[in-house]
Amino acid sequence: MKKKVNISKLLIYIVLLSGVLIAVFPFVWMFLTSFKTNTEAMAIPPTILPKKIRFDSFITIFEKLPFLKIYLNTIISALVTVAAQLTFCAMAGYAYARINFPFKNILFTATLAVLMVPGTFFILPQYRLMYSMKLLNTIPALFLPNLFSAMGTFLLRQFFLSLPQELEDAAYIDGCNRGKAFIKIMLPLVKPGLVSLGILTFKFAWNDLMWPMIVNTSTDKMTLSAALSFMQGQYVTDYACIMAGAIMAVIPVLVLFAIFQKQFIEGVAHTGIKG
Amino acid sequence: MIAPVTIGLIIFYFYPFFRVIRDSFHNIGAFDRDMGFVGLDNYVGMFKDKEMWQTLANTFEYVIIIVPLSLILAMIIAVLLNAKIKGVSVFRVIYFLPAITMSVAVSMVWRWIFNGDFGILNGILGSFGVPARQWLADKSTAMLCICVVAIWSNVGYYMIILLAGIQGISKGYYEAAEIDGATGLQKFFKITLPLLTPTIFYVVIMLIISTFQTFDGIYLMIGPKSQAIKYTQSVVMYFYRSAFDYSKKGYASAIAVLLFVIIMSLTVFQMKMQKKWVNYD
Amino acid sequence: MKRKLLATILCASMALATLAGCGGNTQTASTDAPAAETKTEEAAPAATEEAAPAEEEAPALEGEIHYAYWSDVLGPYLEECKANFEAANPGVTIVLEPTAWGEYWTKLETAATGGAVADVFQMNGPNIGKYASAGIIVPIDDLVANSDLDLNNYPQAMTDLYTVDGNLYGIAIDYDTIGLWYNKELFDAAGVEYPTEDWTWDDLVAAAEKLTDSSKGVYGMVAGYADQGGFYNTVPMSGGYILNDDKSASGFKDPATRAGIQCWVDLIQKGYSPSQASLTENADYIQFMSGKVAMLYAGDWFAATFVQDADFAKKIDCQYLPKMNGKRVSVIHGKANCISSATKYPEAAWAWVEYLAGKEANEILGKSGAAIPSYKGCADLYFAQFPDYNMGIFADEAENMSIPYPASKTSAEWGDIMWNELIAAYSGDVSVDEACDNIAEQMDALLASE
Repeated sequence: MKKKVNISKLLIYIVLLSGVLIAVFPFVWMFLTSFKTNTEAMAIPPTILPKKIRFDSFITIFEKLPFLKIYLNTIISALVTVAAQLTFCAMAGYAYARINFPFKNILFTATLAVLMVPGTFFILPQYRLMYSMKLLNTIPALFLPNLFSAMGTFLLRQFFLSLPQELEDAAYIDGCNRGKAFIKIMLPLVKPGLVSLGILTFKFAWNDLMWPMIVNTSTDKMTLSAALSFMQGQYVTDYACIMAGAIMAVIPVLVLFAIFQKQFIEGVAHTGIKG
Repeated sequence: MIAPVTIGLIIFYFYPFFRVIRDSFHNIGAFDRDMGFVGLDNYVGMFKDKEMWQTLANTFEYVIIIVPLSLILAMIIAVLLNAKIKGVSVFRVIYFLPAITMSVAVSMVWRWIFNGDFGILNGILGSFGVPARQWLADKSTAMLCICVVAIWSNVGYYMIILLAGIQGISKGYYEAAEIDGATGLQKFFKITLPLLTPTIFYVVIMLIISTFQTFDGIYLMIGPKSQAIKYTQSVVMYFYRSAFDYSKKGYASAIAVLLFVIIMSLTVFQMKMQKKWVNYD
Repeated sequence: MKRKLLATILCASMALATLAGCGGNTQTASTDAPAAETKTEEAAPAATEEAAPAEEEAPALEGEIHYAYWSDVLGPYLEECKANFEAANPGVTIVLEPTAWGEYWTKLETAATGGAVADVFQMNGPNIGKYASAGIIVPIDDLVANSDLDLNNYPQAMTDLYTVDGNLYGIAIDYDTIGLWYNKELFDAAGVEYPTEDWTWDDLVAAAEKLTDSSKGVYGMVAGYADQGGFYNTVPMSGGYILNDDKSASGFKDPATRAGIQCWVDLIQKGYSPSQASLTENADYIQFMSGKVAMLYAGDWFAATFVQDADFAKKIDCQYLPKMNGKRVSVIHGKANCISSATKYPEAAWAWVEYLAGKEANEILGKSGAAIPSYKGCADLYFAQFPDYNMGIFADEAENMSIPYPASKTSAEWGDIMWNELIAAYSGDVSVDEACDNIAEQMDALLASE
C-alpha cells in the first residue's frame, strides 16, 4: 500500500517536472542566446552554451533604442490605466450595486453590452478620435481609451453586491455619509476585487501590442511591446540583440512577480470565482 | 459616481460602436478618405473573398485546438498540484511564469526556437535524424506552432483559476467518497469535475474569447510578409492587415462587425448551453 | 479636393517665403564652402543693404523637422548631414526617425492619415503615386525652380519616377541597379568558373546546378520572390513587361512575361535554390552571408551590408546580370525625399530637403558607402569605398542598360496583388500561369480605375 503511493507520487513529480522543463526552457534559451555573438547564435548545428558570457547585445540595444524612455512610457501608461480604472470602476461599480438613480437599468445594460464586444472592434474609430484630438505620437494616446472599462465596472459591481447591506447601514447609523461609507467601509472590503482588476489591467496595459503600435510611431513614444516588435523588424539578423531586448522586457515583470507572487496568483484565482 | 465611466464609455466605445457599423457600409481608402456609401458591397465582398473564408477556417481551427488542449492540460496540472506533494508553491510560480510574460517577448523567443535554419528545435530533432523543417514558413506546420505557443502561454494562467476552484470544493465530499472506497479517478470524475463546472465554464468562455482574438503571436511569429500568413491569420489579424496594410478601412470595419457577430453568438450559445452542463449547487 | 487645394496654397506660400529670403540662408549650405561661416557673412550685409522692415523681421529658419527613413545603413550619413545642417541653421533641429522596411509603409500611412507624419520622409517608386495623388506630400516644382538646384544633376529616370500628373514631388537621394553577387569560395570549392560579363541565364543555371550540394546544405542561387531584385529584370529581358507604356494595362497575359518569372520558379523546383519557405524565414541576403548560397541577385546597396562582416566580405564579388535572349537590362530605382503637406515648418523642411539634394550631402552619402548618390559626379565616391568589388557594373548598367522602374498611381496596391499571387507560385502551390492570370485580371481592373 505504502509503496503504491510512492510510485504515484513519483509519477506526479515526473509529469510536473517535465512540465516545468517546457515552461522554463524558452526563458533559458532567451538568456543563453542573448549572451552569444551573432555567429554563435547562427551556427549550424546550434550551440547550446555561449563560449563566453558577453553583454554586448545589451549594450547595442541600449545604443539603438531609447530604452529608458520606453520603460518610462510603458510604466506611465500601465500605472495611469490601473489607477484610473480602479478609481472609476470602483465608483461606478458601487453606484450600480447600491444606489438607485434614473436610467440605471438602461445605462447598466449598455455597459454590459460593451463587455460583449471584442476590443479590436473599436480600434479604427478610437484611432480617428486620437488624431482628431491631435494626440497621435503622444503618451496619453497610449492609455486614453483604456481608462474606462466596462469589464472593471461589472467585476467590481459583483464584489459590491456580495457585501451584506447591513455593514453599510451600520456605517450610516454611526453617522457616516455615503462618500465616507464608500471609502472607509466598502472599498477596503472589496480589496480582493481591486487587486484582481488591478492585475488584469496591468497585464493588459503592459502587454498590449496593436493599439500602441497604431497610435505611436516614434521610437521615443513607444511602449515596450511595440518597441520590441519594431526591433524585431529592424534587426532581423541579430538574434542575440533581439533576445536581449526580450529579456529587458521580461525582467521588470519577473521582479514584480517575485515580490508580489502571492497577490498575483490570488488575484487571478479570484477572477475565476467572481467573474 | 458613474459619470467618469459612462462619459468615457460613450466617447471611446458607444460612439465607435456605431461608427464602425456605419463605416462598414462605406468605401474608405488610403488615408481615411471616405469614397461614399456603398451599401452592402463590403459584406458581399467579404462573402466572395476566399482569403476571408480561409481566415474564418483558421480562426475556428485555433479555437478547436487551443481551447480544449489548454483546458485539459491546465486541469491535469491543477489536479496534480492539488495532491499532497511538496513544493506546490514553487511549481505554481514556475507554471505561472509564461502567463505573466509579455506576449511579444514570448513570440520572439519561440520564433527563434522554431527558426528553420538556425533554430534549436531543428537542432534537437536533427540529432535524432529528423529532417529540418521551416516550421513557421511552411503552411502545414505554421498553425501548429502558433497553437503550441498559445497553449504554452495559457496553461499556467488557467491552471491557477482551476486550482482555486478545486480548492474551493468542500473536503467533506472527498472524505465521504473515501469512506465509500472511491479511487482517485472516481473522485475526480464524480466529485471534482461536476463541482468545478462553473469555473470550467468561465475558463472556456475566456479561452474562446481570447483565442478568437489571437493577434500578437501571428503578427510576430509569422508576420504579414510570409506566404504562410493566409493559412494562419486570425480574423483579428486579417482585420489589421485590411485596415493598416491594405488601407481598406471600410472593408476592415465589415470584418470587425463579423467578428463581433461571431463572438456574440458564441457567447449566447454558451450561455444557453450552460444550463445543460454547468452545475450551480 | 480640399487636400489638393491646401497643398497648393501651402506650396505657394512656401515659394513666396523662399523668394522673400527666408530660405536664402540655407542655400549656402549646399555649396562647398563651410556653411556656418558663409551664412553669417551673407545674412548680415543682406539685412543692412535692404533695410526693409519686413526683411529684418523675417526670422531665421526654425522648427523641429522629423525625418523618417527606413534604411538602417543610412544612419551615419544622416547623422553627419544633420550635424552640418544644424550648424548652418541653429534654429532648426533635425530628428531622425528610422523604421524597419517591413513596418515603414504601414507606420507612415497610419501617421499620415492622422496628420502626424514626419515633416520630411523617404519615398520609393511603388508609393509615390499613392502619396502624391492623396495630397499627403507637396509638389516642389516651384521650390526647385526658385532654388539653386538643377534637375539636370540627377538621373532623368529618377525625376520621371517622382513626377506625378506633371508635378515633381521628390528629389532623388540615390539610385541603384541590380547585379549578380557571388561567393568565390563556394565557386572554388565546386570548381566552377566565376561569372563573366558574357554569361547568359543558361550559364547561370548550369553553374547553379554544379554549385548545389545538398549534402552540405549549399545552394547555387537564390530564387525567391523578389521584384526589383528579381523578375523586374528578367521579365523585360525575356521580352515581356510589367506595365505597358501608357500604364493602362499589365503585361502578365504575355507569355514572355511569364517566361521571365518561370525561370526563377524553375530554379527552386530543380532544387538549386532554397525553398520560398526558407527564404521567407531567413532573408536571401542573410542566407547568402551565411555561406549557404553561392549566387544572389542584389542591388549595389547591399555592399554596405556585406562589408560589415569582414571575413565574408573577402569571399565575394559582383558581375553584370546574365543576358537572356541576347539582351541585358537592369531596372533602375532610387529613393527620394518628400515634404509632408502637414508640416508646421515648410521652410525648414524644404531647406533640409534642399540640403540633402545638394552636392555636399551627396558627397557625404558617397563616402559613407551606403548608396550611390544621385548627384551627378558623386557616384565614384561611393564606388571608391568598395575597391575590391567590380562595382563599375552598377554604374554601367544605370547609364547604358537601365529601364525605368514600373510604377503607376496604384503601384502600392498592385504590388500587394503581385506578391500575394506570385508567392504562391514560388512556393509551388499554384502554377506561374495561374498566378499570372489572377494578377492580370486584378491589376488591369486597378489600372483602369486610375
